[in-house]
Amino acid sequence: MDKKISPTTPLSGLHSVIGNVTLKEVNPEIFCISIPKKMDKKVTSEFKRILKFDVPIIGQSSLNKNSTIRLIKNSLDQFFILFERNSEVAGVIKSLEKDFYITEQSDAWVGIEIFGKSSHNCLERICPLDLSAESFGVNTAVRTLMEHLNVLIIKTAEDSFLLLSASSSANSFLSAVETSAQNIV
Amino acid sequence: MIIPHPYLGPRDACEFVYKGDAELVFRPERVEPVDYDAFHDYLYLRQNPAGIHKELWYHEYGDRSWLVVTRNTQTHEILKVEFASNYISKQKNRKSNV
Repeated sequence: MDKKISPTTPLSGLHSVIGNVTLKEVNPEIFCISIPKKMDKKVTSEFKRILKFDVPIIGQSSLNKNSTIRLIKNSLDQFFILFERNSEVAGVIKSLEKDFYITEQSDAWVGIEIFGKSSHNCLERICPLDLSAESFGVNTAVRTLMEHLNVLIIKTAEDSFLLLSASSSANSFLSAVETSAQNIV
Repeated sequence: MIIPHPYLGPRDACEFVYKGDAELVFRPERVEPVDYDAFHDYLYLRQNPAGIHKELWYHEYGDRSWLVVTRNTQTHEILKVEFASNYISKQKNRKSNV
């Protein structure tokens, strides 16, 4: 008997609606960029030259013109870059890896997009950050804890967030978010 | 407890791991002949004050930065938060100027 093996994603393409909250698995290409000491003072100019868009400050992210590439500044010497389209990866990474340390991390993360009128209410029950519009504006991107799991939370629009957590605990993370969504229905 | 991170603003203490007395960043140099008393003191002696204390905190579930937090252990009031690297340079400058 012929058996075909095909690749799958950590949540097998999740798409669910719970009340006013929609959860959807997304799989951006994720790369970590670490800054060598010698590049400390050239980071902004080099990134601008290669990416052609603004470099964010720590805790923020910025997008290219087509909103298909997102650059996140995680800490003093580390960025994440997320690609929506696989076709854009090679060109950008080839230029970046000349001066920066690059690690491909796509397989290590699971991405859940959460959107809808109650997405904020769902998250405020499990996220220790102040998610109000005044302190957590669109394009804010920070790491934090939800339940016991490490999460990178990015606000992509007024009622929309991208949550990235470890792919090895994808279902535990989904369970935490789903439970919170069910509790506000 | 809320720790005001120098870059990321107020963050819940659950994102951090307490790593001990801030003096731990000043490990004695290991040169021959080894000063065993200095290592004994470094390993075992702590001030443990009831009041103002400088502490090392690691932002493990955040930006992975090492911070020196000046905290009142009686009231939990946080008086100052700075990056450990800045604290070390300042202390070293102060010692070299004495």
